[in-house]
Amino acid sequence: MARTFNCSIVSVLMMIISFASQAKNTHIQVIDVDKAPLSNIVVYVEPENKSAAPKGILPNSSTATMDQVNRQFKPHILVVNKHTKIDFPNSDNIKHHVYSFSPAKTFEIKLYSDEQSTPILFNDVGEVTMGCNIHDWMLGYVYIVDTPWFGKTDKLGNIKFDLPDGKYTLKIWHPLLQDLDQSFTQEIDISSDVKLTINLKETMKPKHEAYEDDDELDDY
Amino acid sequence: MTINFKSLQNRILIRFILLLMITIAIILFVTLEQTYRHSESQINKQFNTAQAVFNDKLTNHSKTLYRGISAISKDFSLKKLVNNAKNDPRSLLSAMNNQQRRLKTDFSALLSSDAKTIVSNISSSSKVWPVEKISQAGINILVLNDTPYLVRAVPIRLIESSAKIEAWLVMGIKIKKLINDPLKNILGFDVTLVLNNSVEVSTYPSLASPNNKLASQGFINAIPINKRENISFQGESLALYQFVINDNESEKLTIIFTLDKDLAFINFTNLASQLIIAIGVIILFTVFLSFRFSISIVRPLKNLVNIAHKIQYGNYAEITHDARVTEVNKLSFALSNMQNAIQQREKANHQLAFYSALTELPNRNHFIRTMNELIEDATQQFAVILMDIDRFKEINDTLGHEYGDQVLQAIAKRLDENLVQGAYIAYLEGDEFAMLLPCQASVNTDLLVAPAIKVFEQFFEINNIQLDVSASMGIAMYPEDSTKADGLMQFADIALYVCKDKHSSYELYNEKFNTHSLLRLNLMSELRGSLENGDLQLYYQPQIEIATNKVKSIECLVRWQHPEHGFIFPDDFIPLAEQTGNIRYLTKWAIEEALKQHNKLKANGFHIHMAVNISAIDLTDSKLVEFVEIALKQHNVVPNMLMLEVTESAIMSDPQKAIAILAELKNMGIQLSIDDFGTGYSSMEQLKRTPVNELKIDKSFVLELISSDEDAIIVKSITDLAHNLGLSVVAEGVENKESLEMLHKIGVETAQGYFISKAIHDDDFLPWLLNYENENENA
Repeated sequence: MARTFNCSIVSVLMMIISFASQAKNTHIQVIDVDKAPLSNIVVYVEPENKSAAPKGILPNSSTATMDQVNRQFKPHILVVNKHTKIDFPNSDNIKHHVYSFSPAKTFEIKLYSDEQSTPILFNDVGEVTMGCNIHDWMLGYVYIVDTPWFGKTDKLGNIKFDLPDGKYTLKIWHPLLQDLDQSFTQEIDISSDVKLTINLKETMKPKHEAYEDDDELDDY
Repeated sequence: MTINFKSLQNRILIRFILLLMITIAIILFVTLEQTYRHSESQINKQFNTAQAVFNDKLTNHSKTLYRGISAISKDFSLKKLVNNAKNDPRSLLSAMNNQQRRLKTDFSALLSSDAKTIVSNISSSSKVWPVEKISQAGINILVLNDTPYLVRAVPIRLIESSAKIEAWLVMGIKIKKLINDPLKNILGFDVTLVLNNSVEVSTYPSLASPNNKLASQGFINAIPINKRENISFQGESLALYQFVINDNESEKLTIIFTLDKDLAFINFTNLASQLIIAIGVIILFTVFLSFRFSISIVRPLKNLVNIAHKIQYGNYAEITHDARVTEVNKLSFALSNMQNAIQQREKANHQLAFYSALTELPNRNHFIRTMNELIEDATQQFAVILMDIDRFKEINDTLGHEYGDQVLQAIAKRLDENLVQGAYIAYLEGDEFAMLLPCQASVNTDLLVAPAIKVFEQFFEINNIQLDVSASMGIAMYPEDSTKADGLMQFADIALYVCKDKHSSYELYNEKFNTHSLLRLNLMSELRGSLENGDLQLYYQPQIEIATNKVKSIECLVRWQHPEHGFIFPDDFIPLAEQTGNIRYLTKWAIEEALKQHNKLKANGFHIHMAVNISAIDLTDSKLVEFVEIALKQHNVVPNMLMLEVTESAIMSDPQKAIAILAELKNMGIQLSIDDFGTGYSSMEQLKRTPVNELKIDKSFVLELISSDEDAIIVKSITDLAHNLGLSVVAEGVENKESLEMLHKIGVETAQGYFISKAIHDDDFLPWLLNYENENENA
């Protein structure tokens, strides 16, 4: 998880550096109902006018990676622009059988440690929940957005975008957000630097701990 | 058979047994009570344990079910089918059926995330399944189509670790299948599954199907929940325990454990029967021991009782002492001492009863007894001799009683020494001895009595006084004279009297001696009764004053009209009455009757003196004077109207006392007369001192007064003598007119006799008197 987080920070920072000269600085922080900063929350802004988005920043077929490390998805949550190909490498020396029944992308892919799998193209926006048929505890998400401005909050719940002037819609996503927070949207008009704080209205869902609850398996 | 509760043996036995029974009853009660409680608590514990085991079993089944369906829910191919359920439900259902077969469950259903059936091989009445509940760990029971199932639901997540529940998988096992013999064997009870009070399934045959007798709702309803109950129903006695295994009130599912009560309480029953056997043995043993114990006390007591009975009848025997029981031993010694004391006292009593202390000879009782024994024997003829010492009274009077006793002792000693072999001598009383002499029938009595006579031939020398003693003897012979002891005694007595009269040395009884003897003896016993019955009556013979021919007085004469013997003459019974002392009653009776008669005559205008005879015995009775005084007062009669007639001989027997009493009577004013004057041997000196008013000349001198000059002279002399002494004269025996006239000439004042009248009965006297007076006036 920490690694996933660091990784996204790096990529976001890179984007900020790339477009700093042309854009206004937009700073967003996500905090929960207790005002504690929330990390790893997917934050994205959709421009009102999609064509206003810089071409260079909207790669047609960029590539992302969802690795399998120590029988876990890495990163846990992967945010991609649509039409992104996601590569599923296998860093473990065992087999994985990754699948998704999510409408945004239903797929099934068997990963062998010594074999390179074919990357999967994600064309539809939405969330894709992934599991491994061999390792029930493995859970990973791919969230597909239709905007080049997206990222995940850092340790302090912060994320920064360099946005050109214009109107945008700010949205957030996380698998554990309650429906009310999940449907959060905010129109923002970028003409100068913006500093925003998104305060969750509800406590996030608890993490699903299916295996720890199950005392009926103790006998095994 | 009746039991004697007062017998020591039975009392000991009964108490022992009673005590034992009480002890045993208490022990038995406490033990059985505790055992029964223990058995109850054991069976209760067993029921509770079985319930826990059963629940555990059910929980395990539930776990197993969970494990099975939990595994299935993670199956990737199933997830695929679930994901595609809307498009291809058939494939999903067939996959589920397959999984159901693998798990050996009885139904399966796949529900949407909002718990509605997507596919199922069972029809559920409700649209929404209670997944929240049936997905919980533990025992979940659903009744579907009236069949109870152990069910479990698990969520299906397409991505296992995601929170999102895509669907629910439900499977169930028929609970019926779980109720089987292996379960019964593990629990130790028969198990019955009951749904809404009707039996679903049972391992107990009587409950196994709804048609069986115990399976009725009424019976099931009667079984309480979570509490053991013993129920006897249609011949079956069961311990039951029921508990609920679901929490649905409308579809209540219960389990009933049953056990034959006999088996439930087998410990108790076994213990009870063992106890009862043990107690039976103890009772028998104790009864035996206490019986032995009581016998050991009672047997020697019974022996002692037998000995006491023997002592009662005079059978004395050596008493053996039983030292086993101290008290009994003491008793037996006491009895032994008592027996010895009784024996000694009996000897002493025998001596007192049958021997004379004075002479040491057998007494009258012993004599009679010995005679009776001889009579009973009937083999020996014998003579009964009664012996009376002559003039013994004189010896006593002159030499003193002590001396008299010494004489008797000497006579006894000499008789004892001198009599023939086989003679038996007894001392009766006073101066009488008696002997029994065995003899032949035609014995010479002279020879027989010779030894006895010889005893008196030599004088007795006692205290230096030589005493010549003689004896009279009367003899009666057995069996010639009588075959009875009292008869022999009586006849010997009569012979003795004859002997005394005749002054002979002995007299053998002769029938002639005894003309009146029996009659006389009987009469004496009857005299007093006759006085009371009125068999004795006074007859009245008038005495007239010769000068005037008037009745001056009457002599009262006793007559005895005996109901059997007829008329008895005074001469026959008066002497007897004098001998026996009955004369006193006779005299008093006569005086009272005379006074009554006097008053009766007085009421008719006659003042007549009443003359009553009194005897020598009366003159020794110091109470006579007092009696007469009282009688006169009672009948209100003037004393000089009563005249008492006494014979010369009566005065002679004890002149001093007689004269003293007569003097007293005379002082009272009573007239006194000397009866039968002339026949006694009274001296003139005596006559002079005797305080009488009248002499009554004996009729022997008067009867032949006319024909005998001597009699006339005697009568004249007596009359003169009387007149000279100042006494009047009465003549009795006047039987003709000549005699009366001569008496008149001689100067006799009063006459009495047949010429005037014989003695007249009470009823006839007054008429006679009236008639006499009447004739006298007319003459």
